[in-house]
Amino acid sequence: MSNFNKIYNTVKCSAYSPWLFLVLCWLTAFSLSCKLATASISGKGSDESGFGQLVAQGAGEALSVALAEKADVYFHGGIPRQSKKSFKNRFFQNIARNMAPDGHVHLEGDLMKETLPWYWLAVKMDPNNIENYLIVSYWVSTSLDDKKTAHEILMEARRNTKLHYEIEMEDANIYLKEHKLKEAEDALDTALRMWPSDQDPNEERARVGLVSLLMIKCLLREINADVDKAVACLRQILKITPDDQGVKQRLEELEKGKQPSLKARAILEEITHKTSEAVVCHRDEDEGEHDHEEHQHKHNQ
Amino acid sequence: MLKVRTIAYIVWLEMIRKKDAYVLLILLGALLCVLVSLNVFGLGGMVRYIKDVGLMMAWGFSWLLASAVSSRQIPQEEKSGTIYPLLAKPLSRFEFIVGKWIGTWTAACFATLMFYTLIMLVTAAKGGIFSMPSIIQGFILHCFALGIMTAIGILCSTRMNSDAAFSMTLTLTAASFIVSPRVSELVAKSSGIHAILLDVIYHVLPHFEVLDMRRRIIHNYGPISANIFITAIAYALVMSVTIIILAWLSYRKKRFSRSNIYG
Repeated sequence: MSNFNKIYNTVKCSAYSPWLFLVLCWLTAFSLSCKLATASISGKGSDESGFGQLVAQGAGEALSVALAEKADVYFHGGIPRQSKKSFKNRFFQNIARNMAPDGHVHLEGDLMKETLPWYWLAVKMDPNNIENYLIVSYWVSTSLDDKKTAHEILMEARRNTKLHYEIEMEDANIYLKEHKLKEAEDALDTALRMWPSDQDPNEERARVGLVSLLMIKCLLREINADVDKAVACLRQILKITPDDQGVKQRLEELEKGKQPSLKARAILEEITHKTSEAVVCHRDEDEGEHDHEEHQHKHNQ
Repeated sequence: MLKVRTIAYIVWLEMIRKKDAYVLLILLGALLCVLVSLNVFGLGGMVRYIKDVGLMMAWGFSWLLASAVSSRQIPQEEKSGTIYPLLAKPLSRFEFIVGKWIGTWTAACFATLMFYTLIMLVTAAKGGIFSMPSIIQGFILHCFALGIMTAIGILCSTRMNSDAAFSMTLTLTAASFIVSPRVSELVAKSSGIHAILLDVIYHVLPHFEVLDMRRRIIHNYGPISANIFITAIAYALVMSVTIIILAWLSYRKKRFSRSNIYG
């Protein structure tokens, strides 16, 4: 009998064999976890396990969407989206309506905090999705009035995602609410350099984003009495939206030598204030459709 | 009544011995501890998600417990042969069925009370509070929902072994949770025979959504009116009693074979 067989039979018959088996399993699991940890840091595993990564990524994204939807339900007071029903007033439905109220409500103020744990989980499931970061930082800076935490959330977004102009734009918006105009301008410049990030420059969302950036930049330049640069900004906006009468009128005023820095401040204040109230929800319960613009910036020009 | 109480007491002793409820309580506690430890963007003061997940787990665990305990009562008695001395006593099969049902129902309710207490303590530790009228109403309606679940378990176990009865109970109650409230949406997208079948399912399956107050409790909508509360309880009682009568009708003429006991 070979030496190996002798040792094997001795161990197998020993009273300690279950414990030895347990130790062996633990060592195997530990060494596998070390290998996985180093593979994820070096990124070497990503080429070898493409399918596995794809599945994990897809599951993470799907979960993230579901968790963001849950946060939306919380925003609406726990009332989920209503689908079209063939009957609405049977006995059980009438009782159930009392148990679980329906209707259209929104959380306000400090209560918005209750949606955050679901957004937090959504961010953990899909750290590359900037939408959740933008929504959370918006609510934290407005409803909770915690600008510092909002900036920290955007900092985390920068760490976890690719550089994106919308993150810088949101940062600039928060600085504007804090009346930190210099920091806001720096963030806007960064956003303009990053535009359009991964969006198609001809896409509507990218164009609207660029116009928003240029408009705020123009107003900041007016406030700083830098008329020439303000005019240059407005001309850039007109190239994108040539039919915008508001911008044309503003350009005329500046070219005539008017110095409306007070008006610029008022408009900027209005835009900042309007942004806070411009989160519009369109829930059409009768048709069972839901068009929820949770993070929408509207600028009156 | 004394005979029914005695049968119920035996069920209680068995549940205490088997420790099912303790395991679920520990699991719930572990899950709540994980939730409480989340650092959500460095902010504090959020409690609704703890209430939501806690109550969902309480419903889930109590559902599993009620289904498991109720579906094994009668098959276990038959398998071990204790059904013979039991029915040899002046105990009718109806009293036997009702005793088993009352025992499993009250045991499941007590376990649920432990779950609710734990959730309330953890929520309070995080700085949140429950509206007492709402949570008391919610708990009572939850108990009556458990009455229906245990009745289904007893009904299934009169003609199946414990594993099959457990599976069938889970399937029927899960379908009631998931399908019944959505039949009105499904019918809107269906037609013909499918719509008729869905309508039949709507009227046959129990409706647990009329006993589920979680949304009101979590999002602070306050208690429900007395009328609605009593109506919901009446529905649950009628449903439970109907199912128990069906169980008795299924069991009253059942013949036992001693050769099957040890097989």
